[in-house]
Amino acid sequence: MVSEINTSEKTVTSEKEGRVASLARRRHRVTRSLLALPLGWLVLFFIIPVSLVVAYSVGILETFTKEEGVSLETWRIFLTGENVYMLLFIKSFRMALIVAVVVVILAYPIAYFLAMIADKYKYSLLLLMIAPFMTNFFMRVMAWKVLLGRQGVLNSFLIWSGLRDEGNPIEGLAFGEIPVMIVLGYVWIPFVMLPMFAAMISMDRRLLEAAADLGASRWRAFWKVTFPLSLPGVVASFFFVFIPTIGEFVVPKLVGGTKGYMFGSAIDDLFGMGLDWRTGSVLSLWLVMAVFILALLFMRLVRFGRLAES
Amino acid sequence: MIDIATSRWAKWVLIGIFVFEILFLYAPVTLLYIFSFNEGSVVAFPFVGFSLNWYETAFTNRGLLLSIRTSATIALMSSTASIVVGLLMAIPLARRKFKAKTPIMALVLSPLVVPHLVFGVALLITFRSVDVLTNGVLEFPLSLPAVAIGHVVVLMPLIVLILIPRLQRIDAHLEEAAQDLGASGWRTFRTIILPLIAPALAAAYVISFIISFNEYAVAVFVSGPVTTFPIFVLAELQVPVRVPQIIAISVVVVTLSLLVVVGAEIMRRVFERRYRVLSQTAGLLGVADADTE
Repeated sequence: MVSEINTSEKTVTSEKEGRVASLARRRHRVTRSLLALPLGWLVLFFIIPVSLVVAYSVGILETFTKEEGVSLETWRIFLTGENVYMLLFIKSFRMALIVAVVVVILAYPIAYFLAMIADKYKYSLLLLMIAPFMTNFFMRVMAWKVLLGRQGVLNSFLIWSGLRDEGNPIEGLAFGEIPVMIVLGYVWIPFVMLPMFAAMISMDRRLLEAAADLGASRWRAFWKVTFPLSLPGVVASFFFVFIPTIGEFVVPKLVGGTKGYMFGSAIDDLFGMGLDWRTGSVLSLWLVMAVFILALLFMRLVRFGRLAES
Repeated sequence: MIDIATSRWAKWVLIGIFVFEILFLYAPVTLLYIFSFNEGSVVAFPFVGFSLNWYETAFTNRGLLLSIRTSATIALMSSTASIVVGLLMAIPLARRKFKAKTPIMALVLSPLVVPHLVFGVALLITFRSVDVLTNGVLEFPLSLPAVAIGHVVVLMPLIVLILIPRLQRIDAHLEEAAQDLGASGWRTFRTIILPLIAPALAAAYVISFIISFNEYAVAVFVSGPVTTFPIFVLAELQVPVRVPQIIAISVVVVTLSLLVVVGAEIMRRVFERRYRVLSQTAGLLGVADADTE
């Protein structure tokens, strides 16, 4: 009797194991078929297009007949600085760096305020903050153009109210490098706050209490606990601004003038006006490579920062 | 207990910074709202008088209305498609264990680190070279579907990022219990997963629609002869006399999108309260929350 029961129990177990195994196999199949469509889409419309840019930049692929065959010549000309594009890249890199750093510094206190202090109002205030991000990009750019232009709201107000003479408006606000940076910063602030907010809000508050119990001042607790823990959010925020800014070509078009011309504007012109797709491909790839290298460097930095911390 | 996060004066400094930046964000847009009712054709002080002329001009501008319809069509196509592929992607990434997870995640998120401009020209080269590579057998015309295809790639990582935290919070036992009771995979999805992530899906859809509607950098390269709303707006902005009516229509579009976003957020909160799906979150943009204590 006893042995019989044992055997039947065993069969039950092995049956159950078999069922679990087949369920796992089925899940595996389902997983694979679920992923097929999105992965296929990404390969077809993202991986292949980017690979084709690589092919185009060295002349393997050509869509116009007049071009000069397979070579690294276009790359060489760009990298050795024989044309203006390398200088333009350095300028745009500098602008993007300044915009990203300033915007992150401006947005950090906001994220801190919302995550640590605003308490039960934080999500309503967060919505208030990101609502402008939902508005049309051009509308925000245009708002500044209209505001800062030579005959814009600011100048016309100053003249109308007699604060400035008729023939003496504030110049240099409507076109150039500085307006491009102001407008880009303005456009990104609400968005850039989010990764930092997310990092801070997922932080364990008990760490701060522990720091206080151990006698740390607020200032010390911030630099030793909150700041290091928010660092991944800071890095993410930085890239959220840096990537679109260094590839920017719309804002320079609207408020850049000749001085605000950026690397992205050059790519736009090379393709848009159909001048030189091959050089355009080289510049595009260079842009992506620069972003990647910078991202790798930053990840290293953050990790070293953590090591030093422990 | 003292608050270790801030002292009292630091709190007021932070509130001050917050108010200042809110003003900085809202002041220019508010000015546009005001000037959309100004009668004069130059956007400058002093006001000439109140009028609704610019709204009337905008709403009778056929090119403008057509571009809005084009962008709405593109946004509808791309946000619907990207919600489907995004969900197909997010479910295995959030709820299954498999070997290739890390590289797949990296692949899904990689469009985020490529500037839209570069992606736009990459698509342009691809669509243009379809007939070169196939010796003219196939041809991919640059137009509305081309833009929508590009937007799906741009939107997919965002949707995956919004959905994954939500999916991860669903108790795995719920799914197992359903399957033990004999529910098929599809039925488990329909009756357990789908209702629980419905609010996040709705938020993701609204955000995708708005982003696609306003997207310029990809659209401008692959739209061919089609004029989307942002392309139209940018072209009109170069002509000073057209600026006031563009301001008027932008005010309308912005107001509408704000209403939809705020409305969706309120709906989501009501829904979440009713179904007690954990506590309040910043699910609107997929911000991970730790507010469940």
